[in-house]
Amino acid sequence: MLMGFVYWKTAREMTRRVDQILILEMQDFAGTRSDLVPGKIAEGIGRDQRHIYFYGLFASDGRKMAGNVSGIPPDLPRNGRIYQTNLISSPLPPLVARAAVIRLDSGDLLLLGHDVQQLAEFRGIMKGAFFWGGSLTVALGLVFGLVLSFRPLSRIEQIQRVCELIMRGDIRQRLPISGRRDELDMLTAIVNKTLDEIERLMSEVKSVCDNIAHDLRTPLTRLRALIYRAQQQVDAPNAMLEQVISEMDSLLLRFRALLRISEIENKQRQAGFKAVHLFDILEQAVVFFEPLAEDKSIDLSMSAEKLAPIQGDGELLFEAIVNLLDNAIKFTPVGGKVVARLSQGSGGARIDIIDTGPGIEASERAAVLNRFYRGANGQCAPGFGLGLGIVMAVVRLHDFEFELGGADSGTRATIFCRSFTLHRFIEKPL
Amino acid sequence: MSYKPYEIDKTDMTRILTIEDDETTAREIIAELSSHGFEVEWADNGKTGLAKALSGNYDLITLDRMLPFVDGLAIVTAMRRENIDTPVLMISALSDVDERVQGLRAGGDDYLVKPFASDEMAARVEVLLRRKERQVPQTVLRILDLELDLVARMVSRRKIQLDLLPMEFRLLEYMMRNSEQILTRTMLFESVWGYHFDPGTNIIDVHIGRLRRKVDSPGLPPLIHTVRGSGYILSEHR
Repeated sequence: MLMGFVYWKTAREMTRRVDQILILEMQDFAGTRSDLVPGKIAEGIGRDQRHIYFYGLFASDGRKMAGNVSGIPPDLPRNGRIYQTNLISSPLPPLVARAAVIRLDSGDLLLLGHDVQQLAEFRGIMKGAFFWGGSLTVALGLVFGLVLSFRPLSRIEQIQRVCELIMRGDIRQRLPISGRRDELDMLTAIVNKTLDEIERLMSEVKSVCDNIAHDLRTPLTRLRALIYRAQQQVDAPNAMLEQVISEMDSLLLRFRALLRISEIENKQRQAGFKAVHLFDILEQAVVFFEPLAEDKSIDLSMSAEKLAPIQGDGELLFEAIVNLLDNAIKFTPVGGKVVARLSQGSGGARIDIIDTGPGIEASERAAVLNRFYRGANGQCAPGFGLGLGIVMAVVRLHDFEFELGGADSGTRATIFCRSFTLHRFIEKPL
Repeated sequence: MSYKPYEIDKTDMTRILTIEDDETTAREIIAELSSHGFEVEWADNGKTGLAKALSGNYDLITLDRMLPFVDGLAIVTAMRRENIDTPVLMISALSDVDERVQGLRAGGDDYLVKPFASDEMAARVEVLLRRKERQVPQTVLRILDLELDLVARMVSRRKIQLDLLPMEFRLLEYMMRNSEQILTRTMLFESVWGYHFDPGTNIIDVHIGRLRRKVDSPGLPPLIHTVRGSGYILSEHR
């Protein structure tokens, strides 16, 4: 832009000067006696060593009378105003000049011109410089722009990925700081601090929860022990006492499940993973539930491929599948069907437990995974929420994925045995 | 060889050592085991406990892991090093599977997590005491007219063969090896399926129910009994 401005100003100045010279000349010639004009022209030409001045005296019929131009360019108005035009003045090649044509008192036309080839050349140089300089600047600008635009974009992509992990529940993640101390870094630092606080609060809440469960367990166990002892001391079995004991056991079970979830979540047991055969685990679980299914006349079947072993904790996976099967059988009415399927999905094995129960509303599915939730259908079925809580804890520990969906009529619970992180961010790019 | 149910010989009282630093827990253990006819001695710290344990004068030791001065793991390790094979029931608030494995590897015979139900503890103690008695390997388990052939993997009642699924066989085998003992649902689950979490449902009950239908057919004296609030027992009595 600067160059453009410089060029424009310079060009204008040069033009102005040339025009001024021409105006002076025009005035000069206008005041000269007609018969002296040719002489003056000759004088002017003789003085002009550089061949930059041009004169032409033409009779009204076009006949050249004096001067060093071959003719008046047809496109040049004969109104005394200065225009840029091409003049032919042999032996020179056609050139660019600023010229004006005036009508003398004698009726002749006088052309006065000044070479602006220089100006044209200057313009050419400027144009060239402008062009090259400009293109270089633009090109460099584009390259830098692209490079610069990639960097923040990939940083934002990185941030996005970490956020996804956080939203999925891994509150320990922090956003990456590039160290460049720009606004993005500042914002990232603030978000990280907020995450620190959130993690602390969550951990406090969890701790309170766990402590409550823990603290209540011991007195409850003692209570149970007392009632049990009381029952031993009466000779005849007492139905009421038995019921109390049974209720307490159910309560204690719930606490135990809660603490179990905490236990699993706190494990750093990935190091303790071994090669496990999902087929064997699933088969064991299905066999385990056969009598229960039989009692309810539910058709429990397994459709499984023998897949390669994967890294995991066999006991925990068994526990998770047991919980899923338990739910499936609990919620399937008499005469229904439950299928346990093991197949190779995209990226890893997948375990599906499909039942023909009433199903879970799409809107409830996310909420159902909450530790304490009990769906509308689940009022009479105890331990529903905690069972899925255990499944989620096991799935998270393994970095697997869990999905609750609806089959045609019923529920399909799926465990995807593939790395959630890998799958989410690499196989399915943002 | 006919199979005699295990009886506590009152003239030769079973002596149990309880090494437990928490008084309330200790009192509970003592109360429960005494009511089963055992003589219970109490050590409330690791040092005294270790000294008593090394004397080898007990039929069973219940051992808390977290003790002042010397911890439970060290005590059982020392015992085994001295070739004292008194059965040890480890009691701990640490329920992690790794901790359990560690405890058993150090020489413990069974592992119970706090807080525990007294009847669960008593059932496990009884089973451990019995285990010690039964040194003779057997190929056939018998109770009344029920026979389980460990080699042929066959079960029969009154000489009529019963058709059992593999899981049912294992369940019956465990119950027969520990006949006349109360077996809690947790113990059954652990021994037969090998897992250490609480299945949480009445699934064990259903398995027992199915086994019962096969073993205690109508007309035959029932062998599998429910112990309300605790678990099950395979017994020719009641």
